[in-house]
Amino acid sequence: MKKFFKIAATVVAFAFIIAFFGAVVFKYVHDVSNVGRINAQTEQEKDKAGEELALMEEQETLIFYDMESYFEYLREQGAAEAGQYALDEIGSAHTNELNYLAPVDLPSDATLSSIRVDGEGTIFTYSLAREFPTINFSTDDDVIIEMANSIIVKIYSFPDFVSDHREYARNLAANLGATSLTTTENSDVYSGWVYADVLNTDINAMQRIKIGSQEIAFLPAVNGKYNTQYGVVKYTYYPLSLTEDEVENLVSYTVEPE
Amino acid sequence: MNSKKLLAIVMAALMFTLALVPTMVGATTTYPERVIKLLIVYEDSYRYFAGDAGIGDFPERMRQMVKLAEIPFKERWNITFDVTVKNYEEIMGVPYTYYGCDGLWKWSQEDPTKREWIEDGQCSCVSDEECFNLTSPGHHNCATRYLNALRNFVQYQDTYDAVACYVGHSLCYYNYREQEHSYCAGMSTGVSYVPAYVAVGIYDIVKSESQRFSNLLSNRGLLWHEFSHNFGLPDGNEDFTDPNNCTENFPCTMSGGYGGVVYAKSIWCPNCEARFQYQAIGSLVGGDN
Repeated sequence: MKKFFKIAATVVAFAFIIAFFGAVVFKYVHDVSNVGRINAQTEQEKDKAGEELALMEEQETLIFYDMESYFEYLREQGAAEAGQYALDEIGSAHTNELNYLAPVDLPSDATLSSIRVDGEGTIFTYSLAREFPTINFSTDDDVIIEMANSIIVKIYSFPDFVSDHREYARNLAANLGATSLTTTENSDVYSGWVYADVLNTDINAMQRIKIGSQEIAFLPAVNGKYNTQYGVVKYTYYPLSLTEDEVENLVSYTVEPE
Repeated sequence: MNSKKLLAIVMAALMFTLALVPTMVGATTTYPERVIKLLIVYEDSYRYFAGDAGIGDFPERMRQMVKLAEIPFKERWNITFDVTVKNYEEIMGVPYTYYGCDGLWKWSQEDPTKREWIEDGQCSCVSDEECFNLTSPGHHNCATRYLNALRNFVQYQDTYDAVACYVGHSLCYYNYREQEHSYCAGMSTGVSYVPAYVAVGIYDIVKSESQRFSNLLSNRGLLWHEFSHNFGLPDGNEDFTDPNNCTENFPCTMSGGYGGVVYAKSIWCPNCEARFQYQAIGSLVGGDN
């Protein structure tokens, strides 16, 4: 019996070892052939590629530099009455179809840079005038300074062929490197850090810093349409210089009912 | 060897194997580092409108734009850009737009050596039908003519893998499918053998200084979209039964969704990721062998 156990145990041990080395060899061969396949595929596809030119159609984009002009545009579009409601009131308190959302309760030093309306949605960009807390070295990088002093809020608008807004928000969050923060029956919020490579002129080298965070939210649709398919998808970029209270306040919205 | 020792060896082998299996099974393909030598040129119309937007140091601004645009290429495909930024005139010669066209620009009265570009200007030197007739001079702001100049340039030099041109005026083309003259924000050679694209760098003629950052993100979006064409990706459309389309309910730079987004690790839907021809442009670090 003892001998049998020894033999069985030895066989099992060798089987694991062989399986392990087999898997390692398989993985190596798979990786090498995968890279080879990519090379071959590219050459073939390069050869057969046509000369057809690829176009990015110019889409109609409207830009407003103040809220009044934006609201005027909304009124022209048929929004009969403009009202201000908090986002969590939507659906329960109002029967009108949700038409537009716009941030309110912004930091006192935030000034509106622009409101951009195109086929993807409405993008509100604000500029802040404050020192950025985590850059504790010298830099003359204009873009980083602009990133550190900007707030961006985007309310997505979807064409009919986007059939599931909640799934869209989830996929957007995944591509942005954001992870789930909260989820309820009717809403999801995802959050992720934003990094930037900054030239540290003190040491003349690039340095990766955390510069802000971005939030992707799926929020319930209005008018009692609480379902998982249709709803508001909102993207927000917060620079790190915002305080927790300021971030908290930014969840309030102006609602423009139809 | 007694049975306890043997059992210990077996358990050790088992645990060792189990510890390695997830990394073997779950690992995704790691792409070797690829560098693309990208030349970006911008011409007078870009300088004119971008100057109004408070952008003075054009080469540095373009480099910053490419640095932002590089993030998803680096994160997803391990592709980086070695960027050179030049004046169009310096490297490509005189653009077609400069040859007299009242619809696009006029000489400045204050300084007769400088052009004043017309906002939303459009060439009307020839009829719309002639715009894509290559035996005709065509419109001065015709995108395909810019693209042809870029393609010729890339084809006969060894310094750059790809070239992109940013202009400040509109770009027109003749849409054969719809049989109508139209305008585009950008045009790319697709995955043909000379990667090039032309784009309206001052898209929407955003001239306010407060729009500097938004305009940078807009230029970055043009690079994402047009350059993705050069890796073999088609435009997204509304028909999800089309096998060449983007993945349904997924943002993708080929169908939209990343405008205004500051940071993304990937900008392609799963269908486009599967089609992305990683080796279409550039070379591996350390050689392609």
